[in-house]
Amino acid sequence: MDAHVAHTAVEAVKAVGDSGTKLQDLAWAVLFFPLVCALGTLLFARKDRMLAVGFNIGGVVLSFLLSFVLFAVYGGQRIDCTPFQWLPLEGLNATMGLHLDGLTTVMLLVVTGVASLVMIFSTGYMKDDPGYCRFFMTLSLFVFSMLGIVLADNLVMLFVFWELVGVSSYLLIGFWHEKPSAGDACKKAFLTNRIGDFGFMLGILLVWAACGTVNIGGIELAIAKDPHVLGATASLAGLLIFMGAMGKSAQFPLHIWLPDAMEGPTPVSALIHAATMVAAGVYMLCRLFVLYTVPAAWPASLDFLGGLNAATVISWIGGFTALLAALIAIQQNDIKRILAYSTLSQLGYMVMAVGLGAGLATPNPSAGMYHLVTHAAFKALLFLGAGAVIHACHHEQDIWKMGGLREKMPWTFATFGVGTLALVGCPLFAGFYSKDAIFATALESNPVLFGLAVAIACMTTFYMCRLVIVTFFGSARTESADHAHEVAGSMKWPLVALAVPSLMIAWLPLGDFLAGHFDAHYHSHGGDVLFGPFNHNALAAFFGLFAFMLGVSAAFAVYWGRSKDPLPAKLGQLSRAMRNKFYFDEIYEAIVVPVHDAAAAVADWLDRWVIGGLGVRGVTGVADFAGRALRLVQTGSIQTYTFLFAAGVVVVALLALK
Amino acid sequence: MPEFTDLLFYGLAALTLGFGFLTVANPFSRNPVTNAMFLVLTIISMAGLFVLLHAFFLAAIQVLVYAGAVMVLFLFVIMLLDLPEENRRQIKTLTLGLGTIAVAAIAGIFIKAISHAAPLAASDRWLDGETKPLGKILFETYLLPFEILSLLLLVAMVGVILLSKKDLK
Amino acid sequence: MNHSLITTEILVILLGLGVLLADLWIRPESRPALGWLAASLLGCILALSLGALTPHDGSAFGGMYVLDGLARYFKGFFLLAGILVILMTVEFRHRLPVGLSEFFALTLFALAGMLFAASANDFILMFVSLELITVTFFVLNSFQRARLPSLEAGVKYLILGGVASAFMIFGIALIFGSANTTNFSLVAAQQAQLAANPVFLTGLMLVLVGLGFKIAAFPFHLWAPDVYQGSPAPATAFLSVGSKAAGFVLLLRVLFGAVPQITSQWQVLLMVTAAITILYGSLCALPQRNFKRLLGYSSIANAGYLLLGVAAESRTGSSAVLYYLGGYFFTVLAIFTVLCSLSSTIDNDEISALNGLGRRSPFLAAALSIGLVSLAGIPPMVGFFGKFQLLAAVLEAARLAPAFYVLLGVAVVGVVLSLYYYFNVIRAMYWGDAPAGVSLIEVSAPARIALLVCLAGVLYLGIAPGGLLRLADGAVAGLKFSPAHAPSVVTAAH
Repeated sequence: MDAHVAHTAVEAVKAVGDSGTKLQDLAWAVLFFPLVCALGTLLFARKDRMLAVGFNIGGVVLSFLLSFVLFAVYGGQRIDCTPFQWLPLEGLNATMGLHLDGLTTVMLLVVTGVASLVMIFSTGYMKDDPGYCRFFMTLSLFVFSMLGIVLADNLVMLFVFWELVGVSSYLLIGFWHEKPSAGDACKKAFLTNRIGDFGFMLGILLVWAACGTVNIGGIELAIAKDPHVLGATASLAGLLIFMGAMGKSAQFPLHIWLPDAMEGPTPVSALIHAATMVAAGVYMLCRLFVLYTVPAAWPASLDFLGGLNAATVISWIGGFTALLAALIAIQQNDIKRILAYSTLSQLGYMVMAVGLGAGLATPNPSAGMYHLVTHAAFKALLFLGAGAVIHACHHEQDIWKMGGLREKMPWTFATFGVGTLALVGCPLFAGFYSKDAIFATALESNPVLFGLAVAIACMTTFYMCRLVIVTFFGSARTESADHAHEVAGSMKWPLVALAVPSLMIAWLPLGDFLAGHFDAHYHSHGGDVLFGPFNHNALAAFFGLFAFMLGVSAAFAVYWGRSKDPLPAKLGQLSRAMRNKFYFDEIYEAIVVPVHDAAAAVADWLDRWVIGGLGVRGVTGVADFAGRALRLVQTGSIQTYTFLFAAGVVVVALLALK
Repeated sequence: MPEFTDLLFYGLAALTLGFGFLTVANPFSRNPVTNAMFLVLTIISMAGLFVLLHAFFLAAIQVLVYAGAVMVLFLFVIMLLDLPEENRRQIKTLTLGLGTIAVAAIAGIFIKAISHAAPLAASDRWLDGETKPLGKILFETYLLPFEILSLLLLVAMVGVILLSKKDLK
Repeated sequence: MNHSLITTEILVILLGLGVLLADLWIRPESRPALGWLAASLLGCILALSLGALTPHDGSAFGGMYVLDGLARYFKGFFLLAGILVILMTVEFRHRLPVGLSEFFALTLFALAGMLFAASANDFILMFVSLELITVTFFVLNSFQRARLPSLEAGVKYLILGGVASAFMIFGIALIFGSANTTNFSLVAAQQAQLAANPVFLTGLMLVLVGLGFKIAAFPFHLWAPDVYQGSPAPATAFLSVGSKAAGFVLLLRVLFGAVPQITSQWQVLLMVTAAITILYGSLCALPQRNFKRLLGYSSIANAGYLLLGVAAESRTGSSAVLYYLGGYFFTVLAIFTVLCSLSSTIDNDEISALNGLGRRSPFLAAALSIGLVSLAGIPPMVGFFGKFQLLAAVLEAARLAPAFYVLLGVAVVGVVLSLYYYFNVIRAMYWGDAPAGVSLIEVSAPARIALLVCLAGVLYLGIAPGGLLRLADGAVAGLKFSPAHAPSVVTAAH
């Protein structure tokens, strides 16, 4: 579209907005279109495939278009939509409102854009599945919940949608519920997330108790007025809220569910477990970033923690997760698992960047958010590409059983290549710029984590190049790889559509736009966007370039022309540990199972002895206990109950009357 | 030197407790009829206590209704059932011991509470033995609970018929 | 005197008598229709009682009976429960060989007792209405007299209920002896002297014991699992919703109407009771294989959560109790309606009997899942919001007494445990293997209506809790809370 025409259109829309109808209330439509479509499918299109596809894709695409309108009209303005009085009670003033600003509109575009493309891809990928309509319906439900998280203007609403996202993710991971592994995986994901969510809820309560409001804008105001408003619980509240992010964004030690979540259909992995839902944690940290800018404070009982900042803890947890996942990814052979660990690692990166952002001279988490956006594009691309490969190889997922797919699937290869180059941080591709923003933040805030980040970037390049070399180059190593051929158009074009932003999104001044959102006085470091990194912080940029080149050359040296992984022989035990994900599942099992058994045993003991026959055991021998117990259940137990009742009266009297 | 009425009170109270105990746990006889007769004695001793409180009407009702009508019903049921010796309830030492402990503990709490309380003034006794004030209380002040009790009796009747009638159609 | 205030109760009693008499003339086949009629007439009474029947607040019978916001809230609650329980009974009729009409009539009489309890402002009226409820439940619990567990449930409830009543009436005697009145308002007027009188305190404590029995709070909860397991499902449902709520409204009236000053001295007692009740219920529910027994333990745990709101001793806490009861009402009735619908095809209450329900009746399975998910406290169900309100009240109280943080921890532990046992049931429904050769389960129209009403309540109140919260908050406006508490933080922030 001609720039002038676009400008006129925007002005026209603005005029409508000024004339009384509030244009920002379109955000409600963005939010509810997917829900309406999901309900429509449930009621009218449970059997009709065409109708279901039309409904759901139509709804999400419409949401995308409206988001674009909102972005075009408002840009980075901060606007609240007309709220819906949700809890008009004195005390808990929770209105259900939507908030638009630079951060939320960008996130809206990411969610609806990726969701539209993934849905189109799914029409081809899920063609033969009996649960076709259910699949689209659940995806729409997910999009609705995710948009709710993005748009929510208060913590209670955010939490509600947070849980809804958990539920829809549960439904989608367990989509093939006839597979036991899928059932286990969705349960694991759900329960792990609940642990995080409890922390989140307590955090919300603490913030509410301190600030007297759950409205995010209100909290920002309260903290701006008095940075000590959170009192002694400032750091605790920050960490409890981070626990929510820990669950959703799969940070150590709650990271174990994400790799297993790959049991769901591949488009689900692309949308939920790579691009959007797992990023919700990072988004939420950015949205509530103000909580991490306050000075450290602990309750008296935790005084020994001293000046330890919540943000510092967050950055170290992120860094550790990134390192751990990168190490594991190096020795995985399942194409989806490599991508899953890569996602974990990149999420760790983002979380680390947000934590480090709080340590800057002017606190600013935009590096993490920037990486979130670019990552959403190229990681969705990579997952969909992997889906295409898996589809073509008849559901073979082991990369060592593929090979030589370059000639057979040229489109997939080309787009997957673009995604990989973006992820590993090749200059000109999106990932290079967002990673550079993280490097620059780290260099300024914490040099140790900067070193760690560069090392992880190096590993990322290494395992991604390994994946591409083994899958697409060489010669086909199995029958199914030999017979693979290019996928159909419905799957091909979404790949192409995602390849474009993976390459070019960083050519727009997106980084500056996001940074400007958090820091009104932010000045662009000037000059050409493409060479910006070298102007801004040359050292960081050169280290990024260096990590990229080192990783590529190492991968080519080790894997070019191999048909078997040479690393296990060289690394021995270490390789085994990496392959087995450092035994986290086993360790958790070893801890959780005995605790669980012990709790069950205690419960059983209470039920059997305290209720069934207190006082019986001491008098009679163990030998005739069984017989007596039976009789007790029939007639004697009322007497036991009555006695315990009377004993209860005595205890209560002693407590009450002293 | 305690007054004569005080002595009477302690005597009757002791009798009530003693007979009550023999009603639930009689070491000499396990015949239910004996237990029922001890219940009659308990009720009569309680009627004596009412007399001491000048509540003559209540004392009379206690004897007429409980010792008279209700107990006769009880005895009929016991005799109609005619339980054989081995089916009758055995008193277990353990149960008895636990029961005694519970009762003693609760009694201890009462004694402690009452011993710390200031005695009531005599003028606080506003319900004198006449039938007329009692009727006024029942049918004026406590009219609503009194009427609800009639509903309660209806429920009890329906319940008994339902649970005991041989075959309800 | 304003005797017209009790019109609602009189109409309910007349309806009960009418049902009892009508049974003499109608044919046995048309007894379910009698249930329909009773439910719809009860609906009319509910509609009338909201406005036209008793337009003004006030008190009657010398201040013994009051009609205020609290009473109105609970009367609406009980009437709605009565309607749903009668519909449920129609659905359950295959398991009640005799006396269907009497079951309706007894339900109505128990309902009348609850309506009186909601308005009781006098220890005697409180005792008598509680007795009416309890005695009716003796009969309802043992209604399936051919089934041994049902008889056992009735006998256990009878004996323990008798013990509880004995303690309570003894307590009332001591209260009367020391305060010279049984009226809550008159007791409140002289509570400064009474607070120092050990006889009065003992009496009050014994009254609380009796109420503790009603709500199944530790250590007076022992009857709950056995009775829940053995009783017919509609009776259990009414017991867990109506009887428990009656206990709570009286608890609130006694603690915050009659003796607010003494209550503030007993905060620790309330806290300890709440904590142990939650833990006990949750821990014992873990190994349960019988669904109704599980619900019995769950009901104990929920009594514990409700006690959290009472222990907070604040307006927020009490309105949270009312809100939670409202949500609990829809949730529990939904679950029991499903059980009643299953009663014609599934003949035991084991969790394993629910295996494969997701395929046999997707509607019932979905309804049961929504109910359980709400009990577990997951948004957007009403159970979540109720727990949120209660925890918020606890947190508010914790700013004055840090010991409440411990209570908060206990509540969280209870919630986590509850997830496990509720999801066990959901797992059985969706992932369990259905026994071979079973058919689809048909759901009848009354059950469908009752279920849809309950589910709409669970979801609507969870998504838009504002209306009920306002109502609950207004209802507790008349209660007095100890002046020891500073005005709440939240209102201060306003």
